[in-house]
Amino acid sequence: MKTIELIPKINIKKTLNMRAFSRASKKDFDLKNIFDLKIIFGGKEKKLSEIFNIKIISKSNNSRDRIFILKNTNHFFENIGYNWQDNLLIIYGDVGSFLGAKMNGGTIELNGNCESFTGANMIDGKIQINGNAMDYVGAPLLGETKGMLGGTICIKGNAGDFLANFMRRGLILVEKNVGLNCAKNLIAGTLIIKNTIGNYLGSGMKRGTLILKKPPIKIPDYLIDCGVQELNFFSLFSKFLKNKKFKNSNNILFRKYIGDRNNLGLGEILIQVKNTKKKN
Amino acid sequence: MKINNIEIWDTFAEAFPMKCSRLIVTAQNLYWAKQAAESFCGFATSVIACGCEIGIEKILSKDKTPDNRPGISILIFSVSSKELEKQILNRAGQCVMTSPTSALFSGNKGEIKIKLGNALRYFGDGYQISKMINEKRYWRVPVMDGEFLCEEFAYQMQGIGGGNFLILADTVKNALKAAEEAVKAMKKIKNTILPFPGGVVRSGSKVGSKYKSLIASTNFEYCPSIKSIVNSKLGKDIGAVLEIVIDGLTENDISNSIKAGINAILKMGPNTGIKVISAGNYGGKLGPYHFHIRKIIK
Repeated sequence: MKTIELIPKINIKKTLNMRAFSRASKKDFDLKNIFDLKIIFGGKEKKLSEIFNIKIISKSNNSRDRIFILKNTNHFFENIGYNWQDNLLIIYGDVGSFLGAKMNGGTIELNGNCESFTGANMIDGKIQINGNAMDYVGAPLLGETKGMLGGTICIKGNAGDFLANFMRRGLILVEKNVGLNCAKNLIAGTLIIKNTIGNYLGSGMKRGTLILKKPPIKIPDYLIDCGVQELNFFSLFSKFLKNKKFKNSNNILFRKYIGDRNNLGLGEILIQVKNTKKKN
Repeated sequence: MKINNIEIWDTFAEAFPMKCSRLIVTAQNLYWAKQAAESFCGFATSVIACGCEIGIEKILSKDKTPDNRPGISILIFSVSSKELEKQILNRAGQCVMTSPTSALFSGNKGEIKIKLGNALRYFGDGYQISKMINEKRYWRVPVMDGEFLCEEFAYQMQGIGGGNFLILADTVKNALKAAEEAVKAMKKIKNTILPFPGGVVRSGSKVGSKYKSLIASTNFEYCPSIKSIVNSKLGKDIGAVLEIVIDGLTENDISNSIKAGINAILKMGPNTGIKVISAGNYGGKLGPYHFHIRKIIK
């Protein structure tokens, strides 16, 4: 196994487009070439080694896995993990927009906050954010019509507005609060929100599932109440989340809403019901 | 070879390769899981006319099932992949989906997929929902008691069908008692099922018949009521024969099951009325798996 550590040589105060760095995530990438990867700093092309001190540490076992560690980042770091393919990337510090956009595999762990479009058009893999995320998590990139297409995004903190906008597949978990317009135009996929959620949830929703641990302040008119139901598929989710070390209850009783009925949508909003007796 | 006054004939059971799959049926409680599983296992004693052989492998506690509810593990065997797929789909649709609170999951992994939820989802008439959890797709079909949850695919694996042994006794009562003891022990063996009613078969068959349309007919060599007029294998002291048929995943599983069954009979003591333990075969020419009963119980 190899650990590749990157620490900025200079104080980054201009936009740093890290898009090309993701080439290093591919299994067949020769690490000798990592120093010459071209990234864009303040609109100018630079070699990765001009911006970062790069340290490659080999460990004794023969595993071909690589762990990339990126330290001292800030919100000028954009497109980190764009089209990330394999291996693990651990980031210490805040990052800018487009974290894990078009990601296709592997894992990104962020120990900090991120800006907008995290996991936009993501296809596969996992993004773990141990902080807050801003708007448009799992949404489409500008000009695209479908958002996240697979994979998992776990946010330990809060998420901003337009979470899972046009999301097509995959799973998003938010441990704390979510802003306005959550699941807007959701096509499919699953969202689990553990704390509060802002207004206008599920507007334009076609299919997909939004699971809420706490009821929203207001249920919009376009969501139709279908009563309280036992949904044992959630026990599969619970087991899955437990294996991923996410705390989750085994309660499978939900009040179900279907919408957005304004456009004949069949998306479901499931609000966990604490009472063990079935109500209608 | 004689143990506890019971003679063990030097013969073998002949068994055949089969296609099989394991399914897990769960429900809100064990009673309803059993109802669904037993319904699924109905009319599935022999491939001769049922198309498949099915049995309950074991009862699963809540922590052993995918949805944390009580469950039943079922093994289904058939001679071809096509027939296996047909039987699983028909039975899943008519016996499990119809059973209150039931859910259906695959119990094994494999390369060859068998449509399960992937086909049953259409019953949802457009209101079905799929969920991808841990790289497996599940279908949620709306039904009158809520939702029928079903894994997208079951998976085919290789199995062996037709392991057996015969219990030759002085009376029906004694043969049945011994068979019941054997079945009790054999049900504890993993990866095996006993597809016949109560695990026991009384109409052992041979290949072919004097009637052209029949592919199997009574195994007259073991029928006590005609033993004096046919080339019978039964001595004067034999009044009844019962057979236990075993299907399993591997040769070892079937050997373990045969061993457990015969040992249970031998342990009953010397005065049980059981005279002989034998096994059914076709001269060793048809099935590639031979279970020599003397070797197994050593």
